Amino acid sequence: MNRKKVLSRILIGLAGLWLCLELAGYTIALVQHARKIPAELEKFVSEKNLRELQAKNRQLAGRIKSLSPRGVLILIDTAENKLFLREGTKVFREAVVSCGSGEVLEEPGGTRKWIFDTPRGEYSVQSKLVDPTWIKPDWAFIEEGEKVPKSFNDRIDEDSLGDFALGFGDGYFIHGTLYTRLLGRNVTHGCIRVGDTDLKAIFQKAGLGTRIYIY
Amino acid sequence: MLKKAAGGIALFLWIVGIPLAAADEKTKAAEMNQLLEAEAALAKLPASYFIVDLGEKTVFLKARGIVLKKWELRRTKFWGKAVSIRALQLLRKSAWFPPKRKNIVPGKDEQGNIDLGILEVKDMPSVYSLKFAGRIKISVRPRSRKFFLFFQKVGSAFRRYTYLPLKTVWLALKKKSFSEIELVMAGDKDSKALFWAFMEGQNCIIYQPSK
Repeated sequence: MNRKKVLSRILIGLAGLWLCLELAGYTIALVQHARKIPAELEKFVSEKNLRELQAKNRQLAGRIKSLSPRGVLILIDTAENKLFLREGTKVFREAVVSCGSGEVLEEPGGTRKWIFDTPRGEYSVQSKLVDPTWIKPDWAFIEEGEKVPKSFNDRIDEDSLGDFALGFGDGYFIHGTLYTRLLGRNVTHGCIRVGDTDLKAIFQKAGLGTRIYIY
Repeated sequence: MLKKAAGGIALFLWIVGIPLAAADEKTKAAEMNQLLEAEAALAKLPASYFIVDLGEKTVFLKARGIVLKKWELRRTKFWGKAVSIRALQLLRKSAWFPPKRKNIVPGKDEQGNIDLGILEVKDMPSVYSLKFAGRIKISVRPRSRKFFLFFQKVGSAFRRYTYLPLKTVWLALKKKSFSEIELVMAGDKDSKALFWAFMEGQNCIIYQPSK
């Protein structure tokens, strides 16, 4: 047998093996997929009649609806840097904001570390402040390469937070900003910065307890 | 005679068809029931969750039953074992080029160049996979641009006609199974935004209704 014949037989053999494996793979996948209805669902289906199921579904849909918050909601999209003031499905204000930068700050020679993310999840408005004062935390000084002050008065900053602030826990606020040109960018230390006009509208519309969803 | 035969056949099909259609309706109602049961359990928690609806070709980000954001999908492909309709926890997001956080150098004035350190949605990967328990994997990618379409088609064909069948056989020999879902997003922006929104540990329901 010459070389060419041997080579072609090897190739045909390999192709055959590959095709067999392909066929086996496809068959197994189809069989696995055909078992779409798991045993528990099959039992459930056989036990109930269609009307019963439909009634149960309506009841469940109602239960989910009852869990939905009522009234004004604040939704914050940290990817788009947008805040939506919403009631039901109606959005009555959309504001461009600034959310957390995602940067990391480590204390030189220390053990403390901060990640400047805007926290995600469900929150509620816990405090409403007019002409808020920022009590600068340690990281604000460390970031600037300054010494952390011992006196409380050295931490007071009356200008940075704008005219209003809505606190939602753990020192996070929805507040005003001096850096309006950076609205729409992720530049903050975790708080949500809003432009003056939008901030005023949000402050007026949202009461204590208003739900905030950050995603 | 012919008319009678046709009438008989029609009657037979109608009689046979009624219970079949009812069974189908029942399966759909049962699947919907499972989805609603799973969602009702998640909606009780103070955390957002995802619903990947392969029937509607939409990904929903929800909290307490309300839709926070949604993404339309261009295409979906499914391979392997059907996924049961229940809450699944995202174990890991993985990408070839995952985003990296940058460290702030204390006291260093970046002269207004904020782009040096911040992490934004544009820095997220657009091709990645989401891994769940039970060997369930969702691969996400945007719709290919014309230039890359050829390469993407070759890659996709290799994956579908070689890699996945071989993986199926290999795992079947070890008495294991897996599920792989491919989601094709409308564009880069959507793909990156989904990566941003999905958090490890977050709950997700994959809903694949019967056709």
